[in-house]
Amino acid sequence: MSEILKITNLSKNFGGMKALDNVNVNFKKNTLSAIIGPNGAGKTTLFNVICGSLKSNTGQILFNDTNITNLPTHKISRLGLGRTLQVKSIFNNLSVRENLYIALQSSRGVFRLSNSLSCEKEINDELLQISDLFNLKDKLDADAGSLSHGDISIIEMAIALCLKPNFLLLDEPICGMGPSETEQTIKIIKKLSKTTDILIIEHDMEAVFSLAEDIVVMSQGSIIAHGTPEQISKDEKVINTYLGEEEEV
Amino acid sequence: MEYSLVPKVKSIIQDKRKLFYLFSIITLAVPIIIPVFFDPYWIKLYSEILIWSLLAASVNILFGYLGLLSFGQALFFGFGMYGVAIAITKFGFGLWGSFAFGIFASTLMALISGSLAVRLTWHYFAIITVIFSLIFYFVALTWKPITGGDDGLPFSPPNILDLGNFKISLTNSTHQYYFIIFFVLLCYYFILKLLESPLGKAFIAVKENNLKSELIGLDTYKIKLLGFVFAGLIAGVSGCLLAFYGRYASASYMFYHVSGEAVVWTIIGGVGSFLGPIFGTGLLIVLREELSHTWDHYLLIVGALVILIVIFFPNGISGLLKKMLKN
Repeated sequence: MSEILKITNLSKNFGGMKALDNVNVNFKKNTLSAIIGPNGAGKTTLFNVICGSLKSNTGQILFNDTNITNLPTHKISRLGLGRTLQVKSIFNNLSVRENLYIALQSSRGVFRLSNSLSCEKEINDELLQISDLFNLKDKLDADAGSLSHGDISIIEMAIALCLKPNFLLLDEPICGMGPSETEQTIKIIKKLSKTTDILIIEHDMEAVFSLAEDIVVMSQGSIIAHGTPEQISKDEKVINTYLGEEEEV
Repeated sequence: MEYSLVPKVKSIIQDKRKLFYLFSIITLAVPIIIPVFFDPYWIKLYSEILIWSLLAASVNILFGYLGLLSFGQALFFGFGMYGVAIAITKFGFGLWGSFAFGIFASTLMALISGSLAVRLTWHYFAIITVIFSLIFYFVALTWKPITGGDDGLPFSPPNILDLGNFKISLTNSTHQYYFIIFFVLLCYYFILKLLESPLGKAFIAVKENNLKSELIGLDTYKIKLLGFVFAGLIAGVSGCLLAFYGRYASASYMFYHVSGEAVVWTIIGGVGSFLGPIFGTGLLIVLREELSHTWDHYLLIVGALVILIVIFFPNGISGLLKKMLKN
């Protein structure tokens, strides 16, 4: 009951390659979880299958006890599962305001010819709240695509939050950021984790160990370890396949 | 004087709604203004341009706002035309009944072909739209008892309104002009409403980033299908109006050349610009009218012009106008 996401026997093959090999893992509520692992371990594939961008070959995914296995992406998003992408993806040719506006509109439905005044006001109020939370207020009218990589990553999280998700999947949220941007983003993720359950994929071990309360380690499409940061940092299998290399450097 | 006027003009150009009102006023006044300076023939040509511009507008809805390049809008145009002509000649419908039938036929066709086509993107989408229009072009060409084939299907238009002594009829050129522009303006008003609506914003989101749109919970298939059906409806109205204007329907209007021409008009006018299709259609039809009598190969000039505009003014005439007004 206290699990937000339950994954059982999940497999995904690309031709002969097993990208996900019988994955069994549960993610708890009220927890900031992380998935780590070497490149090609299947972390992003797992996100893609959870969100419905890829169809699984076998297995089941329960989100808040609802079966979401192989549902269309937009339906899964509507159920309250938000996601950001590894390659940062926003509406580049629209302003930051329009980016947030369309996400807020989407959560209220778009198949209509106009909004009621109260709905319009609600959207604008929420838009200001969210831009406040992410320090985007002075960038609202800028073309989103013209902003820095760090800003775009933050806007992507802000867009995801517009849908009021119960669970937020962040794929390498601080990848390619400078030190100050990283610090700011980590602060934001910490703040978000107080109200929303979060699962992140991240290669920056410092960030992962400072953020996550629960860590899953993947390698070659399988889960090789799952536990608290202390348990993971002492796990021999993990040190051999992943963490160890870093310590040697 | 000029100092105060420029910002006003700018605000009109930038505001779609004001632009629409300006366009409506000009269009309403055309039959009064044109005879003062030009031959009345230009009034007729202007209404023809407006009809064709709706076909370009339907391309613009798909290409400019949803990012779907259709080379098959002539199919819905043709269904509108034949809907009217067949309803009048074969079923004995009146003007309004045949108009409704034409719009219904084209919208239904758009729903059927769209439900398959919008699953595809880019060149695959463009190809399937061409294929659909080719299939029905050949059907119309060969099914002579119903469509008249090559010769087309002529008819004499029923009255718009018949109250015994008082008749409003398409045979009266003034009545015909206002009949046509009423529906053209109505269509542009609907397009405007759509662009301002939440659905119109979803169109832009889908065009900009399909995957992201799904991740924010937008049903991109349904959105594209609705756009496709709406564009088909606008193309259908355009076809109905041209049928009333020309008093006949013909398979040649369903050929993909016609769709291609509408794409060119849209690009010249400015893809994704609300009234761009009118500028593009207007320029190229006027060029055709002026040049085709004097030089058989006038299309060379049109081709060169299109190449120049695409290279130097990728946002078309409306982009150029906006740029000029900014400076």
